Amino acid sequence: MQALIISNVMLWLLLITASLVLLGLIRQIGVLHARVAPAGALMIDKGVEVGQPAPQVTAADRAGLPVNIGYASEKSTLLFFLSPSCPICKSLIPAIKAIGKSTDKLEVIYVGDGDAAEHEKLIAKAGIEKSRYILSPEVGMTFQIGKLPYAVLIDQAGTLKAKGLVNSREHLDSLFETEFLGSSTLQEYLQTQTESPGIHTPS
Amino acid sequence: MIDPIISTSAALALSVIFASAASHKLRHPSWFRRQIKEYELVPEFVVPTSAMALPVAELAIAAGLLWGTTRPFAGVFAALLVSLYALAIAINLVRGRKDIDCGCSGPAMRQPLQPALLARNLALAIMAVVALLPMLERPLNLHDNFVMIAAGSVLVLLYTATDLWLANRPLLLQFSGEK
Repeated sequence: MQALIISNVMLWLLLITASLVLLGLIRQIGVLHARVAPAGALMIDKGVEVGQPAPQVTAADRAGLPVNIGYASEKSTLLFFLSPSCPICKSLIPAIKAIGKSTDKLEVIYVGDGDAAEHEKLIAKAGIEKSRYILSPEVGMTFQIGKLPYAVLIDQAGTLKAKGLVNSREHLDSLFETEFLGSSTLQEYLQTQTESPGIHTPS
Repeated sequence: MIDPIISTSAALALSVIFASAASHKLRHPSWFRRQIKEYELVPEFVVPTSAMALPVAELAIAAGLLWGTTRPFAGVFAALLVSLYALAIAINLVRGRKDIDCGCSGPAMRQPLQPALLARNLALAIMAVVALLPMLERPLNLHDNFVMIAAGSVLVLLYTATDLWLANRPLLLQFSGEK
Protein backbone atom coordinates (compact mmCIF):
# COMPACT_ATOMS: atom_id res chain seq x y z
CA MET A 1 0.00 0.00 0.00
CA GLN A 2 2.79 2.32 1.02
CA ALA A 3 4.58 1.70 -2.28
CA LEU A 4 1.43 2.35 -4.29
CA ILE A 5 0.80 5.67 -2.58
CA ILE A 6 4.37 6.81 -3.15
CA SER A 7 4.17 5.73 -6.77
CA ASN A 8 0.86 7.58 -7.20
CA VAL A 9 2.21 10.78 -5.66
CA MET A 10 5.29 10.59 -7.85
CA LEU A 11 3.21 10.07 -10.97
CA TRP A 12 1.10 13.13 -10.18
CA LEU A 13 4.18 15.25 -9.63
CA LEU A 14 5.67 14.02 -12.89
CA LEU A 15 2.40 14.68 -14.70
CA ILE A 16 2.38 18.26 -13.41
CA THR A 17 5.96 18.68 -14.62
CA ALA A 18 5.06 17.23 -18.02
CA SER A 19 2.12 19.63 -18.33
CA LEU A 20 4.39 22.55 -17.43
CA VAL A 21 6.87 21.52 -20.12
CA LEU A 22 4.05 21.21 -22.66
CA LEU A 23 2.77 24.67 -21.73
CA GLY A 24 6.27 26.10 -22.06
CA LEU A 25 6.77 24.53 -25.49
CA ILE A 26 3.49 25.86 -26.84
CA ARG A 27 4.32 29.29 -25.44
CA GLN A 28 7.64 29.22 -27.26
CA ILE A 29 5.91 28.55 -30.57
CA GLY A 30 4.00 31.78 -30.10
CA VAL A 31 7.15 33.71 -29.22
CA LEU A 32 8.97 32.18 -32.17
CA HIS A 33 6.18 33.25 -34.46
CA ALA A 34 6.38 36.82 -33.18
CA ARG A 35 10.13 36.86 -33.86
CA VAL A 36 10.11 35.51 -37.38
CA ALA A 37 6.86 37.07 -38.54
CA PRO A 38 8.30 40.07 -40.43
CA ALA A 39 10.46 37.81 -42.60
CA GLY A 40 7.51 36.11 -44.22
CA ALA A 41 6.02 39.04 -46.05
CA LEU A 42 6.20 39.31 -49.76
CA MET A 43 6.40 42.99 -50.41
CA ILE A 44 5.09 44.97 -53.29
CA ASP A 45 7.78 47.55 -53.60
CA LYS A 46 6.82 51.15 -53.93
CA GLY A 47 8.76 54.32 -54.39
CA VAL A 48 11.59 55.13 -56.77
CA GLU A 49 12.95 52.28 -58.85
CA VAL A 50 16.51 51.03 -58.55
CA GLY A 51 18.74 52.76 -61.08
CA GLN A 52 16.75 55.99 -61.03
CA PRO A 53 17.94 59.14 -59.30
CA ALA A 54 17.02 58.93 -55.63
CA PRO A 55 14.42 61.40 -54.38
CA GLN A 56 16.07 64.43 -52.88
CA VAL A 57 15.19 65.29 -49.35
CA THR A 58 16.78 67.30 -46.58
CA ALA A 59 16.15 66.55 -42.96
CA ALA A 60 17.68 67.55 -39.65
CA ASP A 61 19.63 64.96 -37.67
CA ARG A 62 19.62 64.59 -33.89
CA ALA A 63 22.00 67.49 -33.46
CA GLY A 64 19.83 69.69 -35.65
CA LEU A 65 22.29 69.73 -38.55
CA PRO A 66 20.75 69.41 -41.99
CA VAL A 67 21.42 66.16 -43.86
CA ASN A 68 21.06 66.06 -47.61
CA ILE A 69 19.87 62.77 -49.04
CA GLY A 70 19.77 61.95 -52.72
CA TYR A 71 22.15 64.72 -53.82
CA ALA A 72 25.50 64.05 -55.45
CA SER A 73 28.20 63.94 -52.78
CA GLU A 74 31.67 62.58 -52.05
CA LYS A 75 30.38 59.49 -50.36
CA SER A 76 27.79 56.86 -51.03
CA THR A 77 24.93 56.78 -48.59
CA LEU A 78 23.38 53.87 -46.80
CA LEU A 79 20.02 54.74 -45.27
CA PHE A 80 18.89 52.36 -42.56
CA PHE A 81 15.26 52.74 -41.55
CA LEU A 82 14.54 51.44 -38.06
CA SER A 83 12.23 51.70 -35.10
CA PRO A 84 12.84 51.04 -31.39
CA SER A 85 9.84 48.71 -31.34
CA CYS A 86 11.33 46.35 -33.90
CA PRO A 87 13.65 43.71 -32.43
CA ILE A 88 15.18 42.77 -35.79
CA CYS A 89 16.24 46.40 -36.36
CA LYS A 90 18.15 46.31 -33.09
CA SER A 91 19.84 43.05 -33.95
CA LEU A 92 21.03 44.51 -37.26
CA ILE A 93 22.63 47.64 -35.82
CA PRO A 94 26.01 45.93 -35.15
CA ALA A 95 26.15 44.81 -38.79
CA ILE A 96 25.31 48.32 -39.98
CA LYS A 97 27.98 49.72 -37.68
CA ALA A 98 30.53 47.26 -39.04
CA ILE A 99 29.72 48.21 -42.62
CA GLY A 100 30.03 51.89 -41.78
CA LYS A 101 33.38 51.36 -40.09
CA SER A 102 34.84 49.16 -42.84
CA THR A 103 35.11 52.01 -45.30
CA ASP A 104 35.27 55.78 -45.36
CA LYS A 105 33.53 55.98 -48.71
CA LEU A 106 30.17 55.21 -47.26
CA GLU A 107 28.06 57.30 -45.00
CA VAL A 108 25.60 55.45 -42.85
CA ILE A 109 22.48 57.34 -41.85
CA TYR A 110 19.95 55.90 -39.42
CA VAL A 111 16.39 57.03 -40.01
CA GLY A 112 13.49 56.63 -37.64
CA ASP A 113 10.38 58.40 -36.56
CA GLY A 114 8.16 58.42 -33.51
CA ASP A 115 8.93 58.93 -29.87
CA ALA A 116 12.31 60.68 -29.44
CA ALA A 117 12.88 59.32 -25.92
CA GLU A 118 12.53 55.73 -27.15
CA HIS A 119 15.02 56.44 -29.90
CA GLU A 120 17.48 57.98 -27.41
CA LYS A 121 17.29 54.81 -25.37
CA LEU A 122 17.98 52.71 -28.47
CA ILE A 123 20.90 54.93 -29.47
CA ALA A 124 22.48 54.73 -26.04
CA LYS A 125 22.03 50.96 -25.89
CA ALA A 126 23.47 50.35 -29.35
CA GLY A 127 26.31 52.84 -28.86
CA ILE A 128 25.65 54.81 -32.03
CA GLU A 129 25.68 58.28 -30.48
CA LYS A 130 28.22 59.52 -33.00
CA SER A 131 26.38 58.28 -36.08
CA ARG A 132 24.03 60.43 -38.09
CA TYR A 133 20.55 59.73 -36.88
CA ILE A 134 17.54 61.40 -38.42
CA LEU A 135 14.29 61.51 -36.51
CA SER A 136 11.65 62.50 -38.99
CA PRO A 137 8.81 60.79 -40.81
CA GLU A 138 9.61 62.84 -43.90
CA VAL A 139 12.46 60.68 -45.21
CA GLY A 140 10.52 57.46 -44.78
CA MET A 141 7.55 58.98 -46.59
CA THR A 142 9.72 60.22 -49.46
CA PHE A 143 11.15 56.75 -49.99
CA GLN A 144 7.73 55.15 -49.27
CA ILE A 145 8.99 52.76 -46.63
CA GLY A 146 6.27 50.36 -45.56
CA LYS A 147 8.20 47.72 -43.66
CA LEU A 148 11.10 47.76 -41.24
CA PRO A 149 14.04 47.24 -41.10
CA TYR A 150 14.59 48.69 -44.54
CA ALA A 151 17.85 49.76 -46.17
CA VAL A 152 18.51 52.00 -49.15
CA LEU A 153 21.86 52.40 -50.90
CA ILE A 154 22.52 55.58 -52.85
CA ASP A 155 25.75 56.13 -54.79
CA GLN A 156 27.85 59.28 -55.04
CA ALA A 157 25.94 60.55 -58.06
CA GLY A 158 22.67 60.35 -56.15
CA THR A 159 21.40 57.27 -57.96
CA LEU A 160 19.42 54.71 -56.03
CA LYS A 161 21.58 51.59 -56.30
CA ALA A 162 19.72 49.10 -54.15
CA LYS A 163 16.99 48.93 -51.60
CA GLY A 164 15.04 46.35 -49.72
CA LEU A 165 13.67 44.87 -46.57
CA VAL A 166 16.62 43.59 -44.58
CA ASN A 167 15.97 40.93 -42.00
CA SER A 168 19.47 39.57 -41.64
CA ARG A 169 23.11 40.29 -42.22
CA GLU A 170 22.79 38.33 -45.48
CA HIS A 171 20.03 40.55 -46.77
CA LEU A 172 22.13 43.54 -45.91
CA ASP A 173 25.11 42.14 -47.79
CA SER A 174 22.90 41.36 -50.73
CA LEU A 175 22.38 45.08 -51.16
CA PHE A 176 25.98 45.18 -52.32
CA GLU A 177 25.66 42.09 -54.45
CA THR A 178 27.62 41.21 -57.56
CA GLU A 179 24.76 41.09 -60.02
CA PHE A 180 23.64 44.50 -59.01
CA LEU A 181 26.87 46.34 -58.94
CA GLY A 182 29.44 44.21 -60.70
CA SER A 183 31.46 43.92 -57.52
CA SER A 184 31.46 41.09 -55.05
CA THR A 185 31.83 43.08 -51.89
CA LEU A 186 30.98 46.44 -50.55
CA GLN A 187 34.66 47.40 -50.45
CA GLU A 188 35.16 46.42 -54.07
CA TYR A 189 32.05 48.27 -55.07
CA LEU A 190 33.18 51.43 -53.38
CA GLN A 191 36.66 51.14 -54.89
CA THR A 192 35.38 50.80 -58.43
CA GLN A 193 33.02 53.65 -57.72
CA THR A 194 35.92 56.01 -57.07
CA GLU A 195 37.96 54.79 -60.01
CA SER A 196 35.28 54.99 -62.63
CA PRO A 197 32.11 56.54 -61.39
CA GLY A 198 28.96 55.69 -63.26
CA ILE A 199 30.28 52.64 -65.05
CA HIS A 200 27.85 50.25 -63.45
CA THR A 201 24.63 50.32 -65.24
CA PRO A 202 22.02 48.36 -63.40
CA SER A 203 20.46 45.50 -65.27
CA MET B 1 -23.01 9.87 -7.46
CA ILE B 2 -19.37 10.44 -8.17
CA ASP B 3 -16.27 10.33 -6.05
CA PRO B 4 -15.43 13.63 -4.32
CA ILE B 5 -11.95 13.58 -5.87
CA ILE B 6 -13.33 13.92 -9.41
CA SER B 7 -15.88 16.55 -8.52
CA THR B 8 -13.54 18.64 -6.38
CA SER B 9 -10.64 18.64 -8.82
CA ALA B 10 -12.95 19.76 -11.64
CA ALA B 11 -14.38 22.48 -9.38
CA LEU B 12 -10.91 23.67 -8.33
CA ALA B 13 -9.71 23.88 -11.93
CA LEU B 14 -12.85 25.68 -13.10
CA SER B 15 -12.56 28.11 -10.22
CA VAL B 16 -9.00 29.05 -11.22
CA ILE B 17 -9.96 29.33 -14.90
CA PHE B 18 -12.94 31.58 -14.15
CA ALA B 19 -10.95 33.72 -11.72
CA SER B 20 -8.21 34.32 -14.28
CA ALA B 21 -10.76 35.08 -17.02
CA ALA B 22 -12.45 37.60 -14.71
CA SER B 23 -9.13 39.22 -13.81
CA HIS B 24 -8.31 39.82 -17.51
CA LYS B 25 -11.67 41.48 -17.99
CA LEU B 26 -11.53 43.59 -14.83
CA ARG B 27 -7.96 44.75 -15.46
CA HIS B 28 -8.73 45.91 -18.99
CA PRO B 29 -12.32 47.19 -18.81
CA SER B 30 -12.17 49.35 -21.95
CA TRP B 31 -10.68 46.47 -23.93
CA PHE B 32 -13.51 44.18 -22.83
CA ARG B 33 -16.18 46.80 -23.62
CA ARG B 34 -14.81 47.05 -27.16
CA GLN B 35 -14.76 43.24 -27.34
CA ILE B 36 -18.46 43.00 -26.46
CA LYS B 37 -19.27 45.70 -28.98
CA GLU B 38 -17.39 43.77 -31.68
CA TYR B 39 -19.52 40.70 -31.11
CA GLU B 40 -22.53 42.82 -32.16
CA LEU B 41 -25.05 40.88 -30.14
CA VAL B 42 -26.37 43.33 -27.58
CA PRO B 43 -27.65 46.89 -28.11
CA GLU B 44 -25.13 49.67 -27.52
CA PHE B 45 -26.55 50.89 -24.19
CA VAL B 46 -26.25 47.44 -22.59
CA VAL B 47 -22.54 47.14 -23.43
CA PRO B 48 -21.07 48.92 -20.34
CA THR B 49 -23.41 47.04 -17.97
CA SER B 50 -22.63 43.64 -19.45
CA ALA B 51 -18.91 44.45 -19.57
CA MET B 52 -19.14 44.92 -15.81
CA ALA B 53 -21.62 42.13 -15.05
CA LEU B 54 -19.83 39.31 -16.89
CA PRO B 55 -16.53 39.46 -14.99
CA VAL B 56 -18.35 39.93 -11.68
CA ALA B 57 -20.46 36.85 -12.45
CA GLU B 58 -17.27 34.95 -13.32
CA LEU B 59 -15.70 35.94 -9.99
CA ALA B 60 -18.83 34.91 -8.08
CA ILE B 61 -18.83 31.54 -9.86
CA ALA B 62 -15.11 31.08 -9.12
CA ALA B 63 -15.76 31.72 -5.41
CA GLY B 64 -18.94 29.64 -5.32
CA LEU B 65 -17.18 26.59 -6.76
CA LEU B 66 -14.81 26.45 -3.81
CA TRP B 67 -17.43 25.64 -1.15
CA GLY B 68 -19.35 22.39 -1.03
CA THR B 69 -22.72 23.99 -0.26
CA THR B 70 -22.67 26.55 -3.08
CA ARG B 71 -20.89 24.32 -5.59
CA PRO B 72 -23.99 22.86 -7.36
CA PHE B 73 -25.42 26.35 -7.98
CA ALA B 74 -22.08 27.75 -9.11
CA GLY B 75 -21.69 24.70 -11.36
CA VAL B 76 -25.06 25.39 -13.02
CA PHE B 77 -24.17 29.05 -13.60
CA ALA B 78 -20.70 28.11 -14.88
CA ALA B 79 -22.22 25.72 -17.43
CA LEU B 80 -24.75 28.38 -18.45
CA LEU B 81 -22.15 31.13 -18.81
CA VAL B 82 -19.81 28.94 -20.84
CA SER B 83 -22.71 27.92 -23.10
CA LEU B 84 -23.65 31.59 -23.47
CA TYR B 85 -20.12 32.40 -24.62
CA ALA B 86 -20.20 29.43 -26.98
CA LEU B 87 -23.50 30.66 -28.39
CA ALA B 88 -22.05 34.16 -28.93
CA ILE B 89 -19.04 32.67 -30.73
CA ALA B 90 -21.24 30.33 -32.79
CA ILE B 91 -23.53 33.16 -33.91
CA ASN B 92 -20.58 35.24 -35.08
CA LEU B 93 -19.01 32.23 -36.79
CA VAL B 94 -22.28 31.63 -38.66
CA ARG B 95 -22.23 35.31 -39.62
CA GLY B 96 -18.82 34.55 -41.14
CA ARG B 97 -16.96 36.97 -38.89
CA LYS B 98 -13.75 35.03 -38.40
CA ASP B 99 -11.66 38.17 -38.15
CA ILE B 100 -12.83 39.50 -34.79
CA ASP B 101 -10.84 38.76 -31.66
CA CYS B 102 -12.24 36.09 -29.39
CA GLY B 103 -11.62 38.19 -26.29
CA CYS B 104 -11.02 35.01 -24.33
CA SER B 105 -7.66 35.51 -22.72
CA GLY B 106 -6.92 39.18 -22.32
CA PRO B 107 -5.50 41.70 -24.78
CA ALA B 108 -2.04 40.12 -24.71
CA MET B 109 -3.19 36.93 -26.41
CA ARG B 110 -5.34 37.73 -29.38
CA GLN B 111 -6.96 34.94 -31.29
CA PRO B 112 -9.57 35.05 -34.01
CA LEU B 113 -12.87 33.25 -33.65
CA GLN B 114 -12.62 29.65 -34.76
CA PRO B 115 -14.76 26.53 -34.41
CA ALA B 116 -12.18 24.93 -32.09
CA LEU B 117 -13.22 27.47 -29.44
CA LEU B 118 -16.65 25.80 -29.33
CA ALA B 119 -14.98 22.48 -28.50
CA ARG B 120 -13.00 24.23 -25.79
CA ASN B 121 -16.16 25.67 -24.27
CA LEU B 122 -17.81 22.25 -24.46
CA ALA B 123 -14.93 20.84 -22.41
CA LEU B 124 -15.43 23.62 -19.85
CA ALA B 125 -19.17 22.87 -19.70
CA ILE B 126 -18.44 19.17 -19.10
CA MET B 127 -16.14 20.16 -16.24
CA ALA B 128 -18.92 22.31 -14.79
CA VAL B 129 -21.40 19.44 -15.00
CA VAL B 130 -18.92 17.12 -13.31
CA ALA B 131 -18.49 19.68 -10.54
CA LEU B 132 -22.21 19.99 -9.86
CA LEU B 133 -22.99 16.26 -9.75
CA PRO B 134 -23.82 14.96 -6.26
CA MET B 135 -20.84 13.62 -4.38
CA LEU B 136 -20.39 10.28 -2.67
CA GLU B 137 -20.07 10.70 1.11
CA ARG B 138 -16.77 9.29 2.28
CA PRO B 139 -14.03 10.41 4.64
CA LEU B 140 -11.09 12.10 2.91
CA ASN B 141 -7.53 11.53 3.98
CA LEU B 142 -4.36 13.44 3.22
CA HIS B 143 -3.68 11.51 0.03
CA ASP B 144 -7.17 12.26 -1.32
CA ASN B 145 -6.60 15.96 -0.76
CA PHE B 146 -3.25 15.78 -2.49
CA VAL B 147 -4.77 14.07 -5.52
CA MET B 148 -7.53 16.72 -5.74
CA ILE B 149 -5.06 19.57 -5.81
CA ALA B 150 -2.69 17.77 -8.19
CA ALA B 151 -5.47 16.82 -10.61
CA GLY B 152 -6.83 20.39 -10.43
CA SER B 153 -3.42 21.86 -11.29
CA VAL B 154 -2.94 19.45 -14.18
CA LEU B 155 -6.36 20.41 -15.54
CA VAL B 156 -5.52 24.12 -15.32
CA LEU B 157 -2.13 23.62 -16.97
CA LEU B 158 -3.57 21.51 -19.78
CA TYR B 159 -6.38 24.01 -20.29
CA THR B 160 -3.90 26.90 -20.55
CA ALA B 161 -1.74 24.89 -22.94
CA THR B 162 -4.74 24.06 -25.12
CA ASP B 163 -5.81 27.68 -25.11
CA LEU B 164 -2.34 28.83 -26.23
CA TRP B 165 -2.25 26.09 -28.81
CA LEU B 166 -5.58 27.25 -30.24
CA ALA B 167 -4.32 30.84 -30.27
CA ASN B 168 -1.13 29.83 -32.10
CA ARG B 169 -2.88 27.72 -34.71
CA PRO B 170 -4.22 30.53 -36.93
CA LEU B 171 -0.81 32.25 -36.76
CA LEU B 172 0.91 29.17 -38.14
CA LEU B 173 -1.78 28.61 -40.74
CA GLN B 174 -1.00 32.09 -42.05
CA PHE B 175 2.49 30.84 -42.88
CA SER B 176 1.27 27.99 -45.04
CA GLY B 177 -1.36 30.18 -46.62
CA GLU B 178 -4.36 28.08 -45.65
CA LYS B 179 -6.74 30.26 -43.83
